[in-house]
Amino acid sequence: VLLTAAALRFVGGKGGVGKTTTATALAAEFAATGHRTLLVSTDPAHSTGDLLGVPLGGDATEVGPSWWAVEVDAERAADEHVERIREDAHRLVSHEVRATVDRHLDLARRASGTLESAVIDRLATLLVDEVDRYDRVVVDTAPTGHTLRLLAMPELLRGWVGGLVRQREKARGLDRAMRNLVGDDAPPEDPVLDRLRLRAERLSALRARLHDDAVVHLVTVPERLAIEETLRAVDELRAEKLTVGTLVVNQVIPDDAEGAFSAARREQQAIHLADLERRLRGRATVRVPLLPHDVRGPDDLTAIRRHVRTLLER
Amino acid sequence: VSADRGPGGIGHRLGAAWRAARTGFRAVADYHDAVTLARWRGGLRRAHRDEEDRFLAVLLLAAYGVDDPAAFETLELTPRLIEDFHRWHQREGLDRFPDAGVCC
Repeated sequence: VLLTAAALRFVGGKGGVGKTTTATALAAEFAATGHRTLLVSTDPAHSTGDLLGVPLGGDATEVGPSWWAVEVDAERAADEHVERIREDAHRLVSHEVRATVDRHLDLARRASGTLESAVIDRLATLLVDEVDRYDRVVVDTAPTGHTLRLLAMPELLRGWVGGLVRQREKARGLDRAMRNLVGDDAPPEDPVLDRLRLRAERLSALRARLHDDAVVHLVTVPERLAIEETLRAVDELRAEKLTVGTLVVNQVIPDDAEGAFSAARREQQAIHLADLERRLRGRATVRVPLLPHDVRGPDDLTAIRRHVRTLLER
Repeated sequence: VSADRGPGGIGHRLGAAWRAARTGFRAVADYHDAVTLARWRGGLRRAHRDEEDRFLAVLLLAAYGVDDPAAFETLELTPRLIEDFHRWHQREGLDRFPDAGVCC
């Protein structure tokens, strides 16, 4: 199966609205329609494994027919990144500065932003380096602010690393001019520039996947605060030129729920739902009913899958 | 993302950091540019060195207390650049670099 537009889905929203349930149900639907599907959780507070009742980790685990899942382990990814560089360093640097490099790497490992960057690096591995392994990838993200940042960072990083590439090329150009003056025409090697270019290309490819292949599904509930946050997120995603797909409105009190309490909640929700629909100006939504029990394991998921099936379209 | 683009946001700081790093070395570069006219080859060598210094400066922003959003992406360059940096701070008359995390 060839990769097509909308092969990549991000599921975002306020904490506790049902992102993991939605993402898992959507992944199950993709797998059931014969797509090799990867479900990725980037929320540091992983709950995908709990939902599926299967222990998951940083490497893809098979959880069903043509279905794999991974809980990104940012700590491990950051450790591995730094240790790879340390090995490189011990091979390359003189004894004189080795302790210095070690100190620098230890500080970098603990720096703020390192874990966030490690998640983006891991996403680049799954979405760019291993692009041929899966037909569909569903990414379950951390709450709204993190999702927006995760989606925007590759673009910012690409600009930054691109700037470094140009600066380095300028220096290399002068170096070449200098060598030419003394009749040395051998093209100068520069591993630093080579590595920077690879980084820049990888970030460009990740950015392209997010902009060309990805659809972001926001999950919300019919409550005022969640709705305000959702509408803000729609605007921000559009400002970043990312594709916003069908919105999921979760935990809607079903019409057949009895009792005065349910009736009162239903009435309240109807006001919020009308407000949301009006302010979305025709953007597609799908409603998922509040269930009388927790969603746990593949069987409970069936009830939800029926509703998120429409998301397959985008 | 408006929070990233506004004042104090990551996009804003990114731009400010680039400008700060470049301005810091512009004065030195301007001086060297004058010399370049008089002694072409020597000047060329110095211009080259300045460009490499600017490159190092941007990579080691953290040492100046400026956030480097791409630190993770560029960390792998450290082993190949630390000796350059060591030479740079000694050339500039600093036997030891004030930030112990970056060099000696």
